[in-house]
Amino acid sequence: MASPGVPLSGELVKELERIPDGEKIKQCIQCGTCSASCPTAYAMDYTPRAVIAAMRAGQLEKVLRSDTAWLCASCYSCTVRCPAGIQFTDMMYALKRLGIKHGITPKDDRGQKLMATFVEDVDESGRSSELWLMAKYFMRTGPQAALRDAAFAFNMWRNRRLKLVPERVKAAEQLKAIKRALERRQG
Amino acid sequence: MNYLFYPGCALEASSPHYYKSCRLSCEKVGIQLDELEDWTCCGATAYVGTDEVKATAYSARNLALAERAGATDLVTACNACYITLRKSDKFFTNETMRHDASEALQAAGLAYDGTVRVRHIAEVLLNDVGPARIKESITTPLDGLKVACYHGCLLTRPFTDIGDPEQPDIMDRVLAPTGAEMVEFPATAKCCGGMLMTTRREVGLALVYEILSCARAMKADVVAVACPLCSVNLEAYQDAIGQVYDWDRPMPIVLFTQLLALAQGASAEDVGLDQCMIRPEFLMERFA
Repeated sequence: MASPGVPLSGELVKELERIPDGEKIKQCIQCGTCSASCPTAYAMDYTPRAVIAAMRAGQLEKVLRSDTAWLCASCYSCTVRCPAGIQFTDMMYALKRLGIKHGITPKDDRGQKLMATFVEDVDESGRSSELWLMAKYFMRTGPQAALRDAAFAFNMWRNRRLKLVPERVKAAEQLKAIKRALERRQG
Repeated sequence: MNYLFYPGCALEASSPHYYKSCRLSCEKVGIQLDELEDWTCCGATAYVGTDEVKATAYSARNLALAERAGATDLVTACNACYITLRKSDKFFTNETMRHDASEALQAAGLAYDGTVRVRHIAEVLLNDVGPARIKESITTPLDGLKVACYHGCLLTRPFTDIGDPEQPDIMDRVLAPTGAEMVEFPATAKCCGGMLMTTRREVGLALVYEILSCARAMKADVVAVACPLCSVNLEAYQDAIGQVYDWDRPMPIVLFTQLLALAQGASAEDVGLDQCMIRPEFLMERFA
């Protein structure tokens, strides 16, 4: 478990080192353009601007437990408008990674579950199957949502827009080799 | 002219009518789409939230395959595939990332030198083909049809070089030669919610309602989209929207290539209009 405070904030900066312009995160002037541009900020525990303020105050663990990163729809409005050139959407991804790395479950974990299911699918076959992604996700989050979407699935099927048999990449060996190489490096 | 094409998972499953109409409308302007062989999922907006190096390496496998095939351009029709592949290409400009991702690709006998240009089919039609040649291909104009072109987020964000990030008009300029009227559409680049429609339904519905009600206010007959994911979000939940908001007259959602191909002489069946979840009946009758 991560200890709250500066070390974790430092970790976020480190997470962003691999990304072009990732270091610009240090230049935030707290103007709030990101929060004003964000279409889902109204539903977040911490708005985008507040996330950076919280990180500076050493409160990142609170941010990771919140639903903020998981309400980011990746629309990049904040990113294109930020006067400091901060890659804010990429930072939201970094927050998701840090939460997973430290085993921190956000208070609403549906986003985390959907992502984990997607990643498993791609790791396994090299492709994402929309139908099976949803089926596995619903198994993990309870049948209520599945019932809610039964009409949707039927509609998709009726319109010949549901593929029952998932596709697989033929060069499975290549994917395994990529995966092995990276897992070796990460220890 | 031939282009190497990356369909992505959604075009193969939930949007076969998009793939079909893409091919048709491109053929009419002399473009053939050759599918990239044995492509991998781009990783969408999900994989990078788990492991950004692996996400980049998986995605760059496609760029490496395209490079090996001698292609300068890799064309996709999905907004999410477009930016995910383009981001992987951009991530290769970061030294640490290039080193790590290259090492992984090398283990699979692959290499990426950063020479492939990732492009979206809407932008290819606008810039490589151009309105004049599109106009020449029109045989059955869409006179009288009012279209709201919905670009969504990822076509011009975060990469702003192909169009305006706030009010893009790429699709408007591609479809204008069809004779249809492109209505003004302030919500054209508002977010459809993406995966939030699954994980946080109430937030997704609010976002889509804003887009659809804007299209209705601008008196559009249909909303045209250029992404299979935007397409599903906009069309599949209109009943649910009606349960929360004032929305009782459904708005048909079509792929922009369906409209283009219709104007180029294809039939409703050819372009799979019957696969739209909210059927544009007036178009189906007119192009039966």
